[in-house]
Amino acid sequence: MNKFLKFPLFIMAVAVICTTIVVGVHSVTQPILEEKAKEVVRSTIDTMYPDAKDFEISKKKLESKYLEALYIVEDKDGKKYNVYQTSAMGKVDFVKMLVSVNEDNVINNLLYTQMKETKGIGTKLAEPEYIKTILGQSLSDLKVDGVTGATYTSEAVKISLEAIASDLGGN
Amino acid sequence: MKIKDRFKLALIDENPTFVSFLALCPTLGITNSLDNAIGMGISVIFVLIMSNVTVSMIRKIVPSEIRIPVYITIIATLVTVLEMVIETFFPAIYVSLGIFLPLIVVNCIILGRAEAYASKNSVKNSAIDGLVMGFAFLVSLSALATFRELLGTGGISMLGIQMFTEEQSVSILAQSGGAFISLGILSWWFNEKKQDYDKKKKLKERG
Repeated sequence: MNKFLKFPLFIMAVAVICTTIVVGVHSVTQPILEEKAKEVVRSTIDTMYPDAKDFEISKKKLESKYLEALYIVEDKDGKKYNVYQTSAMGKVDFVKMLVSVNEDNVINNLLYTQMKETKGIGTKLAEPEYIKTILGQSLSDLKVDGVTGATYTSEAVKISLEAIASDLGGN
Repeated sequence: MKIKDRFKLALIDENPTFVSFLALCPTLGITNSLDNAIGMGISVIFVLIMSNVTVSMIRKIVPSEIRIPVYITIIATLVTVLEMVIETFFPAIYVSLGIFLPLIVVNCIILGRAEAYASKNSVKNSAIDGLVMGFAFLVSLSALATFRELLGTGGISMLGIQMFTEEQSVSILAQSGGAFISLGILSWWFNEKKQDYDKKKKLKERG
């Protein structure tokens, strides 16, 4: 056979065999890795939906820098929720929240996973009275009230929720 | 050649780190602690044995003009597989070895043994050669890492030994500059001893 045909064909054959092996190993290890990543998230999801049936880590690319992750949780009744992990700079440290949005784009639940703001001022945003004003709102006409004296913290909460609204609006 | 002689040859006469100075990039990079060095050494042993066996198996069908690209492809495949396995089952080692794990692809010892030994010898001999050479690399890395970690931090975290406190240690040895100093000191000591060994060997051969 012609040399100029034989050499490329030989290398191609080697490459095809090698690729098959790599793909084979990858198909074995990838599910285990995904399962491990899920295990890390599971405790976080449990704080919000202790009786969730199942959840998955969404592979959708999140454009906003305030959104860290998106989980799709299915609760025991089979209802699906988009649960966002948000993070925005407040006065003292990053304010991190878990925000769950149901299929009608209504905010269903909100939990702070990190709240280190000034006690009595910034922490007013974590009080049940304040959270009640946000729950049940539709993302299409979202109104986030600020708290007097806690400008930075209010801004962090507002910007996170707006990021979610624009992320779901872009669907 | 007996296996014992081959170990001697690999460890002393052709020591990959202190005599041939091969694969210095991982040697300098990851010898800051003993567990890193052992993780790296075992990874290299695995890749070396597998690549030697594969190269030796196909040595008669590979056209000699394109053997190097073929070897590199084989080595890269083995390293990728190893990387995925380590990431899955030993995440701690995966994090601490970092970039040096994929860099095994361009490790001179592996390509060197494939070219110099496995492409000319039988499968069984090549497998033994991979084991012996990898073992020599593991021993050299461990020696260097023990030296650096012991003097640099005062103890060896893997064995739970603390000989002296951290304030009394020479902390530069555990940093990247100390890698060069330690390698220099150890290879000077090694080659000093090797000269005596070579002289004795010559006298023995003359009878």
